[in-house]
Formats: sequence, C-alpha cells, structure tokens
Amino acid sequence: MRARIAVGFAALALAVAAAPAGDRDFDAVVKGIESHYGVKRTSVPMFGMVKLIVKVARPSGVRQLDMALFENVPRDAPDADDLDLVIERAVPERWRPMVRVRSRDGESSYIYYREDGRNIRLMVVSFDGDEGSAVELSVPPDKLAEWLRDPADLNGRLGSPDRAHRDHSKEY
Amino acid sequence: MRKLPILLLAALPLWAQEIRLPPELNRLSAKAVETVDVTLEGPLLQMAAKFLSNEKPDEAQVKALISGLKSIQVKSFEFATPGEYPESDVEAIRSQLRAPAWQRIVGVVSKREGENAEVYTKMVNDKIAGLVILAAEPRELTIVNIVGTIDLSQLSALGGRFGVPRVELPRQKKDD
Repeated sequence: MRARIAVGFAALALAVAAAPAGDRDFDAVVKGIESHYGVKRTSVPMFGMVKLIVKVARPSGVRQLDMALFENVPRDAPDADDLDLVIERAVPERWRPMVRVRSRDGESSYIYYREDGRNIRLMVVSFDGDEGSAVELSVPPDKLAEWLRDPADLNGRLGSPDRAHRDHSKEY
Repeated sequence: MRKLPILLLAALPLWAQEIRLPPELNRLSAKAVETVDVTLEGPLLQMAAKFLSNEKPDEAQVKALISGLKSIQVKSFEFATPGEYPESDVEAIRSQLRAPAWQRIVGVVSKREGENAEVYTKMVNDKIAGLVILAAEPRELTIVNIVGTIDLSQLSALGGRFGVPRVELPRQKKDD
C-alpha cells in the first residue's frame, strides 16, 4: 500500500513538474516576441474555457493548448525584419525546427517540436502583417504522423489557416 | 604518425559525401514569393513510421522506406517571375554531388516544358545511403536532401509525402 502511495506521489510530482516546464517554454517564446517587438500579448476571450474543452474533449487528438495573440507588431521597425533570428532566440534549445514558411507578403510561420513522454509538443509561431500568434499544443504521435504526410500543410492547419499552399505533390 | 595522412585521406571521401546547402540560398528568401523549409529528423521519422499501417500497401511501403532514414530536408522557393534565382546557386549544390561518392541517376525528366529534375544518389558499400533531388523550374526551385538507407524501388512511395516531390525514376537506368 505504501509503495502504491509512493508511486502515486511520484507520478503526481512528475506531472506537476512537467506541466510548468512546458508553460515555461511557451512563456519564453511569448516574452521573446514581446521584448523584441515591444508589444504585449492580447487576451483571448473565453480562452480558459477553450483550454478546458481541449483537455476534456481532445479535438483532433490535441491534449493541451496554449495560445497568445499579438497585435500591432511593428514588423517594419528597424532590426525587426530578421524574424528567423527572433524566433530562433525565443524558442528554447530543446525544441527542434520542423517547418518554416515565409512569404514576401508578410506571412511567416515556424513549427518546432519536442518529444514529451508519449506525446509530441508543437510550438507554432505565425505572423501575418502586424498580427502574430504563438500556439503550443500537445498531440499524440499517431495524429502527428498523419499530419506529417504534408508538413507544409501542417503549417496551414496550425499556423495560417487562410494561406493557400502550392501543390507539393507535384510530379516530375 | 605516418598513418595520419593515410587516415586523413581515408576520411576525405566520407567528409566529401556530406552536402551543404550554400548560404546564398537563404538570400533567395528575400526574392521568393514563398519559401518553405522542412526538416524531419531521424527520431521524428521513426516515430511517424510506427504509426503507419502495415495493412495499407502504400503506407507499408512508406513505413519500410522511412525506417532506414536519418533525415529529410526540403527547401523550396517559389518566385513571381521566371529567372529570379541564379544558376550558380544550383551549381553550388551540384558541384558537391560528384563521383565517385555521388551518382546522377536521373538527368532531366520533363513532363511539362521547363520542369527539370535531377536525382543523385550516394553509394556506401553498394547501398544507397543518401539521395538529393534538385528540381529547377523557371519560377520554382526545390532541393531535397534525404540521408539514410534508401530502397530506390520504394522511393516513389515517398513522392508527395513529407514535402518530397514526385520524381519518376527510370528502371535500371544510369544517366550520366
């Protein structure tokens, strides 16, 4: 009985320790963007409820979700155009780059990933003109395997839903 | 001590087999209408392989193919007008893909005018250990670098997945 209680406490301690680690990474990304561009994340109405729904209903297999939105991002400001560097600095080292899409009309998306026990965590940072978003989500590996069929489309699913991608299955 | 130069010489072909995408390519992002970079590393590919079905023939083929891969890197540029990228950028990659380590197995297979593709394979102990696809069109440039053991007969299954374009390989044909 004591062993079970000990294991239970250990599991609880691990879960508690793991959750803030994920949050800290997300916070680091948000703070990196905020400090570089001198903006503050805007509040998302009802997001607490959205997080709860995600936790319970797991839509598309998503188990955990964090999101920050940015408005009036001064992308034309001096030293603000090197978004690659900003994101590279903001995303903690243990995250691996997976997809980067940049377009001349001001849309940019970055997807990083890291393994998290049985799940995969994705960090998606997108900018479109003077608006930006950072999303961290945890998905089961089978869902990611399904999404990986077209990694550039993954950007469309998670980053910029409105962007039209060219056909990557082109035949030569 | 005398063995050192021999060891260095022996190591040279291995070093020469690794291709480096020229830094100039990154500058193309400024000209391109859209730039896509996809990097799929070994652990992620192996994880994806676990969840591909053995029952479905197409997924089973992809599963078998990616289980031997260490990485897939795709870099793709789309331009507004033809001729916006210099041939020297493509040549900088092509110049690294030389015999004996690399063999060009497809020269140009063009189904539509102006769409050219080259496929190079790296041979190690009579097995394909790497593959590079250079697909150059007037308004598009795509470079695919696949590292790992590859079965060419299964390569077509990879086309259209993981950002890799479909490339038609000739059967038992070496064009160089």
